Order: sequence, then structure tokens, then C-alpha cells
Amino acid sequence: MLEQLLSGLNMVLVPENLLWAGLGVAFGMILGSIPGLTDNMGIVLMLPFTYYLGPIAGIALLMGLTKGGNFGGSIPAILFNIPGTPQAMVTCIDGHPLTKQGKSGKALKQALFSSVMADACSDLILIFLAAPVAMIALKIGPPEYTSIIIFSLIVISVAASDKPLRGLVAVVLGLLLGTVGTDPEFGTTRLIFHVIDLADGFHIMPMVIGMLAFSEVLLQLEQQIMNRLRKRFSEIQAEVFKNGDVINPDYHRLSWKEFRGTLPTIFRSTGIGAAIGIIPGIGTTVGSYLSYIMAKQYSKHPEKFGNGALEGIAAAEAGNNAVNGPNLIPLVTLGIPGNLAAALILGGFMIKGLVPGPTFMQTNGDMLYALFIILLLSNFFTLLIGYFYIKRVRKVTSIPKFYLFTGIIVFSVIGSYVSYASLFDVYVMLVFGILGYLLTKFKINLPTIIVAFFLGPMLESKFRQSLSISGDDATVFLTKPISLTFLILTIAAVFFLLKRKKKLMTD
Amino acid sequence: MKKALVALTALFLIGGFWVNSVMGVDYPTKPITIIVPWGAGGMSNVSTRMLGEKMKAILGQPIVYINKPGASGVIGLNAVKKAKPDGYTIASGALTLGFTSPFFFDTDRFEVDDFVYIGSYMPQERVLFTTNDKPYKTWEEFIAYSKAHPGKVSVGSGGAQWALEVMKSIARKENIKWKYVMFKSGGAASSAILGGHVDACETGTGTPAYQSARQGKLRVLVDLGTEKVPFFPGVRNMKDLGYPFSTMLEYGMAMPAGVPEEIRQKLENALKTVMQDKELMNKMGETGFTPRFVSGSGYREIVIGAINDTPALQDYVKDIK
Repeated sequence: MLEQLLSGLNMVLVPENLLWAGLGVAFGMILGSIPGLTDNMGIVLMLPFTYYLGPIAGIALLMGLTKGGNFGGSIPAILFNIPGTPQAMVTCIDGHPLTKQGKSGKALKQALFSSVMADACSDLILIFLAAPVAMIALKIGPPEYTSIIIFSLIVISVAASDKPLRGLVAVVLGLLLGTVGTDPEFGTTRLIFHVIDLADGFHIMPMVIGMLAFSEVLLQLEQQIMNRLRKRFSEIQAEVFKNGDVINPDYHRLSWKEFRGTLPTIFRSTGIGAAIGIIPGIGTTVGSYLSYIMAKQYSKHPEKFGNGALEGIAAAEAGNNAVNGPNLIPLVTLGIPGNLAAALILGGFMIKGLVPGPTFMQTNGDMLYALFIILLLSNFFTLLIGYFYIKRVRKVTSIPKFYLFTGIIVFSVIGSYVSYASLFDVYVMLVFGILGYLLTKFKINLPTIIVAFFLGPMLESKFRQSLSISGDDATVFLTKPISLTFLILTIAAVFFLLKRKKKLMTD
Repeated sequence: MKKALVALTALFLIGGFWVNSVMGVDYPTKPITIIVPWGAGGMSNVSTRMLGEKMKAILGQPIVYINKPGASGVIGLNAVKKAKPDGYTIASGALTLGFTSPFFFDTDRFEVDDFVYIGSYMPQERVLFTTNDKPYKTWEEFIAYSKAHPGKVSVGSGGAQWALEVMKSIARKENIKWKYVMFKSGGAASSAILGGHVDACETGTGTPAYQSARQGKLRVLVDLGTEKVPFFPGVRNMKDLGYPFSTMLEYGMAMPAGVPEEIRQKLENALKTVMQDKELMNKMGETGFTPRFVSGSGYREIVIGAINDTPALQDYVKDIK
């Protein structure tokens, strides 16, 4: 092992590789911070380019892209309330309020440090626990998946809203939206009303942008119109953003004391994110949202959440990034990509003539260690480049509000269009913007809808796969030990959460 | 004066068209767009980009790749069908799969002559795998076991409706009752069979399941196609076993109908030259691809075969649940 590690180090530590990893991080961060352009798109763009690089340099570029892009997504989330990547939507909840208070620098730094820390921890899990974790991942078949998803959804629905019933409504709505598209088993289309663009269901990016960013524009618009009707012009003028010329320099600083206060949240969220990363496909969005909800439950100041709590940013970013390390485990041990980024990296390996899989460790052990070293190096670069990047970008919040919202509309349209180059997605975004506006009026939690939408198709196909395998025998969920454990956990968690809520109400 | 100007413009326009159609050899003068109707993680994407990088050198123009996934290839193919037939928009990937998808989705079908064909570069076989701990080791034993245990054996598919329908046609011919499980992709199906969650599962060549089989961790039962499975010379296919239907996944390139023949011919020659590149062929072979060149007219015949076969297959298996 030591020999392979040294030879891996030898392969990685040449200036060329460091240069490409750094460039990858920088490029990914810029792409991630433009709404709609994701790290995945960066990988797609760069894949053919890796031909001309050596195998290590090519993979360094791809890894740098994913790390940089993952953090980059939270920049527009904090500054404009538009998540640059779907998983950054949870960062919006507390990040954007801080920007409104003129503390965007603080929020960005908290996001950067939390993501880099969680990412590094999760990479260590990948490096040292790859083999045992891969065994667990294989044990999780359709029935186990079903129970784990039910557990996540129920916990989210009960914990995320003040009224558990409202949470349940959000989950059902999200699941319903997730049924639009193609039947996972029979391949027939459903609920698409002969619109072939819907054959794959709603795309996630236009939906997220519409629900979270565009609906916010509508809410602001409504407020402005109401103000104008009441002829309170002085108020309107007072509201104009002027954060760039900051009065208090502390607003953009993150003190050690503040950061230390979020450390327990970071570690807890890393644990949650990493556990979710073990199960391929559940994904970063769920990781960050579950971490956020748990952080709110355990916080001493839950009332601060949603109004710019540093803990909230820490939980969202740590929970999101911790998913990444374990997500690569099925890729390096079995050759099965756990997420889209991993699938693209698999493509990158294959273009190089390397086939990751069960014997990759024996045949290309040094390559594997080289990959691990690159992961840690890219983390370091993310920290370094991110630190300088946020210093520049936070200046853009000094834009007056009316320009800012015009900009958000423009970026919402572009962000929905680019991922699939489809005008249809822009209409989808607009419709979800209006829907999001209406649902906010009914106090329905929008991120819960998105998470349920995201997990819905998976829940459905795993549920139906379970029943196909068992021959329509529903007891399959109770006879498999892992599945049963999660069902019991679901009931226990609901009981515990409701009791806690009741106690808080009576206090 | 005005009339003269109009006439002059018209003359230039006609002249322009004339030059374009006769002097098609001037092609290409700007970057070419290749639309891959599948996602960025799949085999269509990887293989297209491997070939495209070499074709770029021959054609002397950059190539822009766009992944337009959705509805098993229908959305991307539609985009190419509607593109301007000037030779600057090309579809590439497992196009025969895209042509058969409308039958399963029940949407507007493609006609063979909606497109002109540059050529194809590889077939992909769909292979049925099982784990090593099962009592059946050969195809015959698997069939016998399935007959002895009706409704007990589960067979999965790695995201190919076509392959699942072919398995149903086997079930009808052999009078077997299987449980069918559909997985989203070859990757998901691979982890299901490696984890032992289904009894047998099919995926294309090149998937993790296929790579595991090459290392002896999975057993190959049968080839659902009609060609050879690379690295498994002894495995029999649907034709060898006398089954009426089979999958015919053929990766190739096509353009919207109306592209001048000179341009098509030029691209066909470029593809043919690339397919003689030893280094590239070795690289593709290591990945588990089976590159081989078929001309544009040959690819057209293959597409006709796929489109004609599908309704018959659907009719044959309509009672199999």
C-alpha cells in the first residue's frame, strides 16, 4: 500500500497536474456561480479536451471542476437567491438573508470553509473505508432503497414545516409532480398531454429556479406594487440596496469564534451527508436538506434559521459536500457511477483506456492513489481560489435592487434554458415561478416540494422493482432487515419530532 | 434601379445555392455540431467523442458536441430531423434504439427517409448475466430452471425496453413465466445483479456488469443480439438459438434529409478513415466496444430492419405480462 501511495504521489506531484487541477477548480467555480451552468456541464465541455492531457492531468482537471463547481453553486445562492446548482438551494435559505443584511462576505466565507472541511472529511472516508462501504452499498437493493427514501421523506415533511400537515402536503405535491413523464416500468408516457418535451418529466433546474428565484421576484414585485398603491415612496427609496459600501467591516469577516460555533453542525452534517453518499443516487440535495433540518432541530437558536443563521449555511454546505466522497466509492470499487459527475468521470477514465472496477485496485493501484491525492489537492485549491474569488464577487451586491431583480429575471431565463438548450424549460420555469408564488401564500415549504420531486421517481421505481422481484408480495419490506430497520426508525423519528414540537409549542 | 437590385440579389442568391449544391466539396467551412441524443454518462457519448476528435482532424473544422437526452433518444433525433440540412448538424449514437423508441412511447414515429445516413461504427450486444452462486450455468439450464419455477425467477433490464421485449418474446416461445424488473440504466442494473437483488439481468457490453463478467464475477447466459460478444467467444446469440426476435443496437451517424450527397459522402469517407486508425480502435476495444464500419447505405438497411421488426415484436409479446 505504501509503495502504491508513494508511486501515486510521484505521479501527481508534477507542476503540470497542479496547474490543471487549479484551472479546473477555477473554471468549475466560475461555471457553478453562473446559474444554470453546472460543474457537470463543465465536465462535458472539458471531456474532449482531456484527450490532449496525460491521464493524471485529465482527471485532475475533471476533479477540480466538480469541487470548484460544487462550491461555486452556493455563490449566486447567497448573493441572489438563485441556486447555481440544484443542491445549493438549501444554502439560499440562510445565505441570502445575510446578504440582505449586508453580510454577504461572512456568508460566503462560512459556506467556503464548511464545504471544504466536509469535502476533505468525506474524501478521507472514501480513501480509508472504500472496501467495507462498497459492501454495504451492494446490500442495498430495491426494498432497502424504498424504506430509506420513505424515511427521508417523512422526516423532512414532519421536521421542515411548523405544521407537520403542511409538510405532508408539500411532500405529496412534490411526489405528484415527479410522476409526470415516462412510466419507469412500462416505458409509456403519462400525464404529459402529448407534449413530448415532458417525456422525461420536468427538468430539475428550471423547476428549482422557478420555484425559488422567480417566485421571489414575483413576491418582491407584489410588495413594490402594494407599497406604491399606499404611496409610501420614502420607504421604497430607503429599501434600495447599498451593501457594497459597507459601514461595518465586521459584516464581511468571519471570526474564529463564529466559525467555532458552527463546528458541531459541520461535523454532524458531514456524518449525515456521508451516510447518504454511501447510497448511490439519493444525492447531494437530500444530503444538504436533511442536514439543515437536523441542524435546526439541534440548534440552541432555531428561530434564527431562515433569517441568516451561520449554522444553517454550515449545515447546508457541509451536508452537500460530504456526499461527494462516498459517492465515488461505487465508482472506484465496482465501476458503478453513483451520480452524474461520477458517470462523467467514468467516461473520462474510459477515454483514457482505464476501466474502473473490482480489480482496479490491483491492476491500477497507483492510479487509484493518484486519484485520492488529487481529490485532497483539489480541496486545497478550492479553499485557496475560493477565498480570492469571493472577495471579488461579493461586490456585485452593491447593485441597486431594481437592477438586481431585472438581473435575476434574466439569469432565471438563461439558467433554465442552457442545461437542455430548450425554450420549453423556460416556460416550465415561469409556470413554477407562479406556482411557487401561490404556494408561498399558503405557507407551503418549497424546498420540501423539490426534494420530494427529486426522490419521487426513485421511490416509485424502487417500490415497483421491489414488488416485481417479490412477485407482488408487500411483506418484502418487512422481511429484509435493513429495510425493516428504516421503517422502525421512521416511526420512532416521527414520534420524537412531534413530541419535541409539542413541547416547543407549550413552552 | 430597384428592380435591377432585386434581380441582382436574386441572381446572387441563386448563384449562391448553385455553388453550394455543386461545389459541396467546399464543405466544411464552419464548426460542425454533433447532437448525441443520450446523456453525458453513456456509451453513445463516450464513443461519439472518441470518433469525433479524430474526424475533426480530417475535416479541418472544430466539432461542437451537444447532449440532448430524453425519451430514449426521441428528443435528440427530433432536433436533428428539424435542423437545417446543410451538413452542419449530425446525430450520433445508438440511433436504431432512438428509431424504435417512438413505438414504445406511442409518439410520432420517424420515417427511414427523414434522415440520410453517414454510416455506423459499432453494434452493441445486450447480454444476460447471472451470479456465480446460481444452480444454472448454461442457457438451457436457466430455461429448464425457469420452467420448473414459474413466476419465481426475476429478470432485469438495464434501461432498454427493446431488450425487455425480446426477453418477453423468449418467454412466449419457451412458455415461461418470468418476473420483469426494469432498471434506469446499465449502471443501476449492474449493481442490482452484483448485489444479487435479481436472478438474471441484461445490460449492454461495456457496463460494470460486463466488466465484472470479464473478471469472472458474473456468468454470461445469452446474447440478446445477433452479433458476437467481445471477450466471450462461446456465448450464443438469438440467431444461433433460433429465437424470432433480437436487439439490433447499431451506433452510427445520420443527418436530416436533404443534405447534399457530396457532403454525406465526404463525411462517410471521414468516418471510414477514422475507423482504420489502429490506436483508436485498440482504445475502443479495451473499453469493451466492438468498432466496425458500415457504409451509409448499409446503416440505412439496418435502420429499416429495426423499424420493421418492432411492431411485430410488440404484437408477439402483447399478452406476456
